[in-house]
Amino acid sequence: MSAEPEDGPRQPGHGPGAVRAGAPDPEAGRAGAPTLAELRRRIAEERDHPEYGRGAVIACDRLVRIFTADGVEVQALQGLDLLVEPGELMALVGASGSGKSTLLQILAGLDVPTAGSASVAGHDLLSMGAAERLRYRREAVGFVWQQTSRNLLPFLTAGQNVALPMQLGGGGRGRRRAREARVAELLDLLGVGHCRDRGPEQLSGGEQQRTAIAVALANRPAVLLADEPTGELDSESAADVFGAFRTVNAELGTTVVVVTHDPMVAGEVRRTVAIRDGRTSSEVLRRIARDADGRESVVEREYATMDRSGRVQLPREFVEALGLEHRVGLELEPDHIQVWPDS
Amino acid sequence: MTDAPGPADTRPAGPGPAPGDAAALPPAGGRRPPVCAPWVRTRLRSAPAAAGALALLVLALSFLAAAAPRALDRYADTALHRDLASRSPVVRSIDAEAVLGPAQDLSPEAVAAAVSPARLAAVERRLRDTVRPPLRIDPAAVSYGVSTSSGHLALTDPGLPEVDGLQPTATLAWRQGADAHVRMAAGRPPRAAPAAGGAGGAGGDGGDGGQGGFTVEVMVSRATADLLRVRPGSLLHLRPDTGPPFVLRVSGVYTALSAADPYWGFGQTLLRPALASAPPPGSAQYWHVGMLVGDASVRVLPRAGTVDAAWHHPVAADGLAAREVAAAEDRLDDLVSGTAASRLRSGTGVPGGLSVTSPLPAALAAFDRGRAAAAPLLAVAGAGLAGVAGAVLLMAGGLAADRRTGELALLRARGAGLPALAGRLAAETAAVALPAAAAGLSAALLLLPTARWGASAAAAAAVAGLVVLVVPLRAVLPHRGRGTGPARADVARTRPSRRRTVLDLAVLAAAAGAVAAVRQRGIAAGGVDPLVSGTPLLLGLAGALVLLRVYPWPLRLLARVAAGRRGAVPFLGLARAARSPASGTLLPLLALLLALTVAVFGGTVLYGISDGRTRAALAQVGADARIESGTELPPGLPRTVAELPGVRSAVPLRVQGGLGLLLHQGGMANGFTLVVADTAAYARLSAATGIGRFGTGLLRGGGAVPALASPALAARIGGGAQGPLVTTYGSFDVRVAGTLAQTPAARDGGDFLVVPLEQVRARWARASSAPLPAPDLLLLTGPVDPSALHRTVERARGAEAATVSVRTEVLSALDRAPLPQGATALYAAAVASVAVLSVLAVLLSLARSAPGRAALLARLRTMGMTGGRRYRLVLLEVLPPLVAAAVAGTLLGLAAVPVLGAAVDLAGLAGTDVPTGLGVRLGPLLAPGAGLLALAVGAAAAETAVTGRRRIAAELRAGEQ
Repeated sequence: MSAEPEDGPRQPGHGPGAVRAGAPDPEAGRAGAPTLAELRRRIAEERDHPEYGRGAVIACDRLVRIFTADGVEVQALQGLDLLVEPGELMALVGASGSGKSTLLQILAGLDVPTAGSASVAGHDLLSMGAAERLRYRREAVGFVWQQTSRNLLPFLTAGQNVALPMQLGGGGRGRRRAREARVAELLDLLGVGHCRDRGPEQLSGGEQQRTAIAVALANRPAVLLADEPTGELDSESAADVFGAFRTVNAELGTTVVVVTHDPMVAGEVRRTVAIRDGRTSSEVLRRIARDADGRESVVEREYATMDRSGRVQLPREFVEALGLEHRVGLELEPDHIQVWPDS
Repeated sequence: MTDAPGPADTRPAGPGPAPGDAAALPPAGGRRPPVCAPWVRTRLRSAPAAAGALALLVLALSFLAAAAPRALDRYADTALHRDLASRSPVVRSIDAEAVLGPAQDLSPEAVAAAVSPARLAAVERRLRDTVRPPLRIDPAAVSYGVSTSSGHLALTDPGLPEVDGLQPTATLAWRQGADAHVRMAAGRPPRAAPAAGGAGGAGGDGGDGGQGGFTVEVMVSRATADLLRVRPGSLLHLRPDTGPPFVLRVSGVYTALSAADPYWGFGQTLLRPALASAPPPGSAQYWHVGMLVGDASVRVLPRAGTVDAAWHHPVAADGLAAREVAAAEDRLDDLVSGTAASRLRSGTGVPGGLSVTSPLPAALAAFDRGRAAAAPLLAVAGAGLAGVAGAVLLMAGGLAADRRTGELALLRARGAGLPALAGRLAAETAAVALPAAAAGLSAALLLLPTARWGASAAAAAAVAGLVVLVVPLRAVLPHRGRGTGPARADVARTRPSRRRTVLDLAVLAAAAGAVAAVRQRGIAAGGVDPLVSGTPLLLGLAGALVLLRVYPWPLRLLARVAAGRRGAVPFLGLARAARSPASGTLLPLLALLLALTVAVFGGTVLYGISDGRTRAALAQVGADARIESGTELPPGLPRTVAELPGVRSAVPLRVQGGLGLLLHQGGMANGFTLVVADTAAYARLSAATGIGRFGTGLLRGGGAVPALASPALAARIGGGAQGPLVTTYGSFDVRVAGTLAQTPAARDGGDFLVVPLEQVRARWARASSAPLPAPDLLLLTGPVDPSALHRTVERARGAEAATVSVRTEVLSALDRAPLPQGATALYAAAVASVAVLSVLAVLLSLARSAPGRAALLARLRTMGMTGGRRYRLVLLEVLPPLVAAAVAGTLLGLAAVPVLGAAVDLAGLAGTDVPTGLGVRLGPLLAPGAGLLALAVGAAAAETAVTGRRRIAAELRAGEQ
């Protein structure tokens, strides 16, 4: 496992882990000479609907998803905010039932949010029609599921499985050569080139998952989603598979979002977002710091996320430690905010 | 690991292939599979069992579909052929006749010119050209000829046999090709030309003599020769009413090569003498014989008066297909009275013209009536079979689609469009279904040879088309939403949507409407009514929909009860039954319900048919056997017959029909039949046969003779003594002592009066010294051997005029009647096919849930559940829907009986004149449902045994997939 050279967040906002909500667009000012009317319009827009997630490949804003079963409503997502920059490799963590799988289903275009907004690679997930959804699934996202057997069609070889999404995407017979080349390229990239002509049942779990990644990448998606991709694997295979994600992220520039329970995986990415009760609750950012001697060390810092209205979820341990209940007292200091128990 | 291509890989090599992968090399031969998989081939190769099962199902259903129209055609054809073959050639002949003689203002010379063998042959050719398909003449049976008009040529020789003091008469005939159909017993065929000359004239120079008459050579049959006591060389004298006398020189005596040859059908007197009757009054009888003359003598026949030329063309019994009957009838009409008839009349050159007649239309019309009578029930069976087959097909398609849900969800998630998915599925289904349907069609074409194949091909194509359409649609439709695929919906929990409620109500309304219409309207006479045919289907569909709504209630209740009890087996089994997916329950339920409805109804119909025939045979014979004579039976016969093995009782009866009784209150009771019977014996007989049971006490008492009357007659006669009744058995007063619905003695269903022999005999003895006339009817009970009975009666002296009918013979004749037999066999085949399909439906629905159950059983085995408990678990999971279907299907079949009973007359299928209705019998009612449940229990046992023998580990691994 070669560690990627890391140089911190690529697009610093207002500080590490700063809430991106409502961030003034740095590009807005650089646009040519706007007319007065144009400026007025922009100001009005920013006041009413400040543009959110500009430049992000995944932008979820106050995302709500409600399931109804037997007349009982379950809020799986309760106003979730998430921004992912292009080229990021990030992990989503959270307890079972926290809503992370629901989020992933929505991002994969397999489920539709009840309210809020979500856009991935320029596709609005709420308003897109059937044809656009189809195109979205084909071209914009790829995904890998936890069950190795669910990712690959058992009756096709690894190579055929990779070629299938390209076939589904249409295209004439003349592109067969290009497809073959692409299949070989992807399988080689993921280190499973030797598995091309074998059926899934002849592959090990790790090979299956890496083949699944190749399948997900077949149509050059902007975003690769993975739901517990290493859940069924031993640690060595899991490391291989995670290495494959890294490779993909580094060499193809694909944005990768991995839902995982695996602390090892979570520890290997630059950004880990935790979801609690259907909301993003905290983020961990890691960067490699170089001390005076030139030694590298990973610096890890945890942040709480704040939404656009300024809501912050206090970590549970904090709440329990101080016995916070119902109300807290706040006090603004020059460079921070103090939170006091209500007593 | 020679297969690892080992690309220049910058990353650390992944783990090598998993252990045990050494065998997992690329396919033998080193050929790499193409990167873009050929979908259809890959799919078929990956799931050969599923493809094979689908192929088998399509094969079977397309065979059924293709076989049905051909079986119908063949049944009708065979019935028609057997019907025609059972009739004598005379009855299926197209006959042309010309009468030539003085009445037509024709001189004998002109007639002779018109009836010369050459002219007759020319006319024959013309006729054959006119009789065109669909009428096909049996060329071997064609016969034509010319003969003297019968009845007027008396044989004047003394000493010839006479019956009522009248001389025998003869017909001189010339028949084409006679020599080829006879064997000379003595002498030679007539060859010599007729000689002019008087009686006894020793020939002459030939030619037409003057008033002196002719000497003509003839040959006669052996029977005629025996009757007339002539032999070759004998001379007979013939005296026509007008014209010169003929001297007949017998040149030879012949016997028919084959008496059964249709050639002789039109000239029976040429084979044996017949008794003819003079016209009334008098009706004196005399012998009539036929004689054959040679070619050379044809020209003198007109000298004896009028001659008849006739051309007989029996239609080949197997030359006419049932579908051509209407065309044949048209053609016959045309020949007999249409343009073809007028062309024949004028165009054949026969003076006076030809007249064409044929008894065939009557035969064809009878066939048509019989077929039309059987058609409605066959339509019911056919519609039922089609419905069940369709449901099974849909069900199989649904099961195939359900198994692919995961795969389709993956494809859909990866961006497969619905049309593309449906297209792929259609292609792979077509690759299996089309060859299978073609094979089914070919099998039907080969196994059931008949001319028409269009309907069969269309039916097989419909089956294939339905499969190719249903499987993709059924598979793709649940994936049309935006989600990942169908959500779970348990049968016991799912609430029907509003749309579904409306649909259900619509179906229920349609079924109710159909039932009301059928009840109100009854069956259209002889026609196939789509409403009646479809009613069992509609009932089944409505029942399935209702059942699907009602079924969860008891299931939930049972599950709740089981949950509160100790013991895991009932709880687990019922919970699994309740959690089977709702989407997959409707079609199996529907298929089973339809099958059971049709099978129960069909069983009832079949039972009704056999019951109807049994009753018809009994009604016709009156007992197990009947010996009947127009005159008195020989006195010893009852005892002789009673001693035959198997005979339990022989009851002699005296029967006199057509009686009238002058009533005291005025008016007359007319046309009833008197039955004089020994009270005790008759009571035993009627008790044994079940026809007209009565208490013997009724026929006692003094005064007027006590009598049992048919209800109508009893009402007419009234209460008091009436009389006197004048009969062959004396005159006596009668009083009605009771009524009987029927009597075994009279079979025509008319009014009757049964009186006790004892009292009649006593009165007779008082009035006359002569003995009471002997019985003329003998009714037997017991399993008598028919052939022994026939032999005994034939040998009995004085019983020549007696006819014997045996119930078993009558019954088997009813069973064998061409149309009813074919129709019943067809109906039974349809019901049997439905039964097979319902078995298939049960097995399919079991197979659907088998993998999940196998995994569960394996898990339970790891927890130590015993085989017996596992079996009970499987039963508890499998049986609830089947029990529900069996009960509901039986009830629906039962409901179909009264609903359709009024509209269905089985007489057509039974082949009896007696209207036969549907009755409910326990056996046919319960058998189908019970059979299905037994099958399910057996299948569950087999499943438990098979999964119990498998390795747990393999099962658990398989269960996770």
